Amino acid sequence: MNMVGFIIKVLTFPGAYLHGYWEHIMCKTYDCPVDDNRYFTKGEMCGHVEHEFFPTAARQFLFCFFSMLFNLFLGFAIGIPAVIRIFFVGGEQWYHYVMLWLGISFLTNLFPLIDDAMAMWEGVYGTDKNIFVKIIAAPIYAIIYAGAYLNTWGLTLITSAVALYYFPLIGILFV
Amino acid sequence: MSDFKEKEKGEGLPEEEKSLTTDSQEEAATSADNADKPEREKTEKEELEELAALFQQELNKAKEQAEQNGSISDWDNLATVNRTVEGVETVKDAENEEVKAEEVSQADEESAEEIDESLCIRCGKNERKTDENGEYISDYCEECEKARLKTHVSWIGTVLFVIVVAVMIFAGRDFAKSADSFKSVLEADAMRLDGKYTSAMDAYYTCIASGNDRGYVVKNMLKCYEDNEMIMYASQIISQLGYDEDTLSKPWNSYLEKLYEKSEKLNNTSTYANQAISDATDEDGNIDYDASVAALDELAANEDYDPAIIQYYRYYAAALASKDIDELIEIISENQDYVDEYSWLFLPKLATLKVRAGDSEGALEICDEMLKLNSESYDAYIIRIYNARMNKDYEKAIAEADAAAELFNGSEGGEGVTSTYALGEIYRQRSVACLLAGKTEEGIEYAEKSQNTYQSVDSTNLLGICYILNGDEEKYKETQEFLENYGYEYLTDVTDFKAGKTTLEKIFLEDGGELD
Repeated sequence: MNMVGFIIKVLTFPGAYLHGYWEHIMCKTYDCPVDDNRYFTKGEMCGHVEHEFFPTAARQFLFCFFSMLFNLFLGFAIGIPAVIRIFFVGGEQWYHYVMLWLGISFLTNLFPLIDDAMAMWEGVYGTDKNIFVKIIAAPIYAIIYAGAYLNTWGLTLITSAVALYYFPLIGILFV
Repeated sequence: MSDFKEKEKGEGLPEEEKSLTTDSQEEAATSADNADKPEREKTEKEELEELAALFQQELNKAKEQAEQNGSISDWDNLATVNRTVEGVETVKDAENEEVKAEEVSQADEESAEEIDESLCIRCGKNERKTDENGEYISDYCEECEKARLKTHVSWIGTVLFVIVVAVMIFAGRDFAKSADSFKSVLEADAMRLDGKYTSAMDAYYTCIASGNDRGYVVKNMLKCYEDNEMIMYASQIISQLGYDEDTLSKPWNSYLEKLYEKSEKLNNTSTYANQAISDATDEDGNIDYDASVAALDELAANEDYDPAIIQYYRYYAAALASKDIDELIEIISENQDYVDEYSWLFLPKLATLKVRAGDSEGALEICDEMLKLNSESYDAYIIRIYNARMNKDYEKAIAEADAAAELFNGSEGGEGVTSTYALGEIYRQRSVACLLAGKTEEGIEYAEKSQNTYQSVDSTNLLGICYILNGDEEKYKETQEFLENYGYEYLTDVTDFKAGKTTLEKIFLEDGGELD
């Protein structure tokens, strides 16, 4: 991990720490031995736990997916009300900016370590899995893989801010 | 260097020579091995001397290099170390010791590796986990394997999670408070994206009136102003919303700044073009067309004015000068770029001219284009009614008017757009169609509706015609007084109709089909 990536991890430490926390819980849930359970260390393991390989591709996927899903949910649940107040409705207070920072911090730290993403990818696309499964899983895998790569450079800070701004506007389709 | 050699001679050789002279007889009597010893010592000394000389040579070279590089190094200090042969010997010994130490450490590591292979890499005490055949199946012992599966999650993470859940609940409650306002914004956005600019404008304005003056709302509301006649008021609205020169110059307000400048330019051009035409018109209302065009050309040469608007005023001057329809069409459609830029200004005029020229299909195509650009373009609906009426298809005109009225009945509590001008004009067109179709009572009803919805010179004069038709002299006079109160009087067509000099068909089907 480069220095920019680490600085962004520090700036978004609640999300990074909680992502490590989710990964640890997933490791425990799927019986994967953990070698280092420090969630916030300098280096590429920041926001992640060091663990053994998962015995099955499904567990590897669920490890990546649920860790992402929990942070995604928290990021949107906290960030969207703040974005609505600050950018669309008005009447914001100081705590809306804190909520916005929290939301961005969770969304910035959605993705797994690139090694985990690669292992996840190999688990499905490097094996003789059903072609149907490969096609269905492709978009999710692609997002996770791309996100993991962006995460190493801290670029997910930008993507998360953009996503948080535009996501509430999807409501236009439902009014 | 010389000092070094002197020391070698003074300290080393004399002692050795002395030992040779005193013990020579005894040594001669002893074995041949002992006789070889001085010779061997001499060889070693020579070797050491050569080594020392070589070292000194290398040292000098290094010093020279350091001086050339401009950095005075610690070579002088280094040079004082191990200057003697004994010193060199010390170095040799030290080197030997280092080599030995390395050999020992390598041996230790190798032995340590041998130990690691059998012991758990985590605890280093227990033997690694083996299978039934006794082969290692893990780097860890059984206890450590279990321990690695049972690592405790961080309590800080748990506390953080609890705090985050609390924040999430708070955020949810806050969202509930702002949900209605946000829904209004989304509804306005949806209308804008559907091309319903009039409705969207109203919706955004409602948001602003309720205190939501976010840049997002203001910007999107003004986007609705851009492609219709409301752009004339854009600069005024921007100023009213508190944007001054400083705030407009901020990078994030660049869109508003451009719109403000465009609106101002358009208004200025309109004012000066109007003035140019007024200057070319005499007291009786007769326009000197050539003079007005010359004045407009002069304005067009100035970059401060919008050439598209000036082109529109060229058409206006030609219309006032009663130029024929083909010439008017040619003027208004002369530059397609202008038509595209100000479609809301050029297209309705072009469509109306096409109706007058008898090109119904062309007119309807333009109406469709207008509706594509703005699905709430009332001009398009009004021209459709006008087109049907001019083609003497009165029932179609009435049906078109009824359908259009549904779309613009917001002012009457309906679900349509709130636009009194549009609704009033639709009723007026319907009234004319009814009168032409012989449905006088219905025509009068809609003429009154038109007057009640949106009072204009045209709607009031139409009422006059209606009261002439049903012989209601009292109301005819009331209407006349109403006009006089505003400084107007009945148009020539009305007075001529009352005098029996003209007919309804002549008024509403010939020469543009409108009251003159």
